[in-house]
Amino acid sequence: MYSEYSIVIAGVGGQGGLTLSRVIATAATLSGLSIKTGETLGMAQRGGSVQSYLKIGKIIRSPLIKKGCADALIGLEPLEAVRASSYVGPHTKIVLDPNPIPTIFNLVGKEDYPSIEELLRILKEKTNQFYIIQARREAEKLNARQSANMILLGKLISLDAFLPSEKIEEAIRIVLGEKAGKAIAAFRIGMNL
Amino acid sequence: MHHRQNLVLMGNEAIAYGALTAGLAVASGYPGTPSSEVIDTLLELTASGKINRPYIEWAVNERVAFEICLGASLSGVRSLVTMKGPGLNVASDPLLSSAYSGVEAGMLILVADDPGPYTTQTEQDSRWYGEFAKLPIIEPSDPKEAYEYTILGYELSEKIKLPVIMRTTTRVNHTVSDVKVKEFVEPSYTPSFSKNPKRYLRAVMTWNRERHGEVLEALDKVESLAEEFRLNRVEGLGKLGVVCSGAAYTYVLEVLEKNKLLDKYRILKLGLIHPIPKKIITEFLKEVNSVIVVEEIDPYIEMKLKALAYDEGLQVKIMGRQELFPRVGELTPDDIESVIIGRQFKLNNVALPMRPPPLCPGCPHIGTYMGLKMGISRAGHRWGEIPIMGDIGCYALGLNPPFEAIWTEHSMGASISMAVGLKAAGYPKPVVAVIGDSTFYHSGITSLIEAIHKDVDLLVVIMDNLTVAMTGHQATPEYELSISGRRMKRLDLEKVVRGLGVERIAVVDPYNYRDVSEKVREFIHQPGVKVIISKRACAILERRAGIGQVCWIDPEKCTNCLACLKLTGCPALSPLEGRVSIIESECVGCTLCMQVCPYNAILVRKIGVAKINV
Repeated sequence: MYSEYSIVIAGVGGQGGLTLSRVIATAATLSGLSIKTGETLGMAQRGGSVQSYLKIGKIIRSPLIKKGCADALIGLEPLEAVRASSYVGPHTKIVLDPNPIPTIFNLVGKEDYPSIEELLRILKEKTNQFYIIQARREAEKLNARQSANMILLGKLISLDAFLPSEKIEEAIRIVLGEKAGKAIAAFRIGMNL
Repeated sequence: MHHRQNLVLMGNEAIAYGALTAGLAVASGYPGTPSSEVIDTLLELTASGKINRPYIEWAVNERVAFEICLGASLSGVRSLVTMKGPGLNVASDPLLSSAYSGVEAGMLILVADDPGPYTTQTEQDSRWYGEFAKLPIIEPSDPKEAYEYTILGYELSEKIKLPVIMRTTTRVNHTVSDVKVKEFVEPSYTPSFSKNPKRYLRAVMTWNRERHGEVLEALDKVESLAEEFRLNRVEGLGKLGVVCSGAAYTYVLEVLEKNKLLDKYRILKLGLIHPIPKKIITEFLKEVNSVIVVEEIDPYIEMKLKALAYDEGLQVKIMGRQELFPRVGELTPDDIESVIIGRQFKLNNVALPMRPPPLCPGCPHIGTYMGLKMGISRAGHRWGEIPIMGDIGCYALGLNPPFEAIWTEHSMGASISMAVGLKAAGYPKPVVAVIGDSTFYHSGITSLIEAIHKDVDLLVVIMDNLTVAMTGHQATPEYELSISGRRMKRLDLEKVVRGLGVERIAVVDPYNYRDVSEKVREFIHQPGVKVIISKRACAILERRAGIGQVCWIDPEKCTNCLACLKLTGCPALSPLEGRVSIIESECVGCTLCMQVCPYNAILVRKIGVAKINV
């Protein structure tokens, strides 16, 4: 068992990072552990950079994670993963969906989206434990686009069993209710990737 | 007898649970990040039937919400009013008199500050209001304390018969944590209201002077009550002092524990911010060799400590945000570690492209801005030549490409009144003010009355998306049914504006952006106040209600000219794989892109029907 485990989730508003954070938090509570989560939000419903922080353990003080000290970074989008990379140290595990979401500047042609290779290189330089997962594509195969994040979580749990997978599945049922079926299927796919 | 339950709650949810555990009877507020989820949670609990009795509704603005809660507390029931920092500025008029009237039952004022800032126009530190309004301020450090302080806040309020301010910051409001909660208590008292002119009437100046004295005496009791409630505490026996409050306390504790320094330090954790608890601080200052003050946003406690040390003749060195920490922005555990052990943390040195939130796919504001742009041009002006005074809400995102529309965004309702100011100054060109429906009802309506009365030449565009969108779709005066189940009387925006005396008024659908542009062209040079109501429900609500069609691009006709992207900036359009395409799962079928495509390459199809080129 891990005495404390900290995760940064980086993505774009509307990608479901907050739901993912809620699932992990619920699973931690179901496992009898303490949790704290925090988030850094933009000023709108969706479309801006969003970072969530989670800490799980016996006693958790603050919701924030120190730079270079995250145990894991779940990257829902490559530019946002790099934006959160100051939390990554040599021991950090990164699971990343490499499919980009353009910014408004990219959309209107004022700026190019950075080269994906360059973004991946920045992340690779920080840690050897870097896993690129085609989560959205896998989820689309399941016809469950909303469940891509659960694939990433499944992969992370297969690397670091910081919570028992049955508790995560129970948490998915609690947080997502009737939509839990596909999310659990996606989580299991991630566990076996 | 109370059944305790361990729940995973966001700080704001914990505050809602705390208020219900304390027997809350009336809650009101105006949405504002990071405070909105308190009332949202109370409404959901009402809707789910988990509570009944309490009155829980959003109000038209913070001052009205404040006065509703003050009135309720005068009648002997417990009330809760919630707002973000600048909301307390709106409510500051009744706030500053509220100590003079006092309360009969507990009144808790939740004000959520936003260090960073992440979602607020200023990095306002609302703790200054304690001294200003002569009201106690308490500050919890995490969701668990937020729950407990809410309950204690009511007890404190009732002991001294004054409203109590609970100040939080984003790291408390939006932190999710495990919280042990007790059962809700149904409000059991019957409201009663008796005449008490000296307390409730401010028209007699000798009473006001007398009440001033009584309020100060009531405040003098707060320090010992705080001791009784254990709001302040000292941890550790070391000689190095740290004084802290709020979320910053959790960073301090974590950094000291992880670096195994707890035995060298002595922490004074303040839960009572105003009046500053002199006794515990003075004793603390005598026991330590130096003091670091860790607090969000201004050096408030730091300045209080320095004044107190001076009064007590203590030479101890006190340093905080004025000397050690960044003076702006949110504190982090890294900041504290770098001060305490000198560990320097590495910031990202890669310059990354920004990702401001765009207007959503199908956002009606896109159509309004497209129409405004075209109308201004058809009236003979360049885009960027005519000032567009903005206001607070999603439409402020029109500052970003492709529109780069608004010139100002100041405070609720200021679009119209600042535009009046430009014209009053003799500004020669036409001026446009854009404002959302909820912001209009909140404060814009008084600005519009001023503009109408002074017969100012001004075009006002009210972007009516039928909700408070930015903070998560809360009710406006145009809602007929509250989430709580309460029936409400719907106001008709057009009738309201017409009733104020506006003669040139048009209601248009922003999805027909040419209609918007035609009215802009027609109105912009006409004298007096003209109002265009650009009306269409928020696209997120439309999507939830179910959309019937989506757009698609016929690759045979598309020349990849990107006019659709450059003119709408719609995030459902994707240029990433070399060719523009529509992300079908994002599209709401607004057809704005279709309307601007020069090659008629964008088509619409009903959901569930195959792509057929007709």
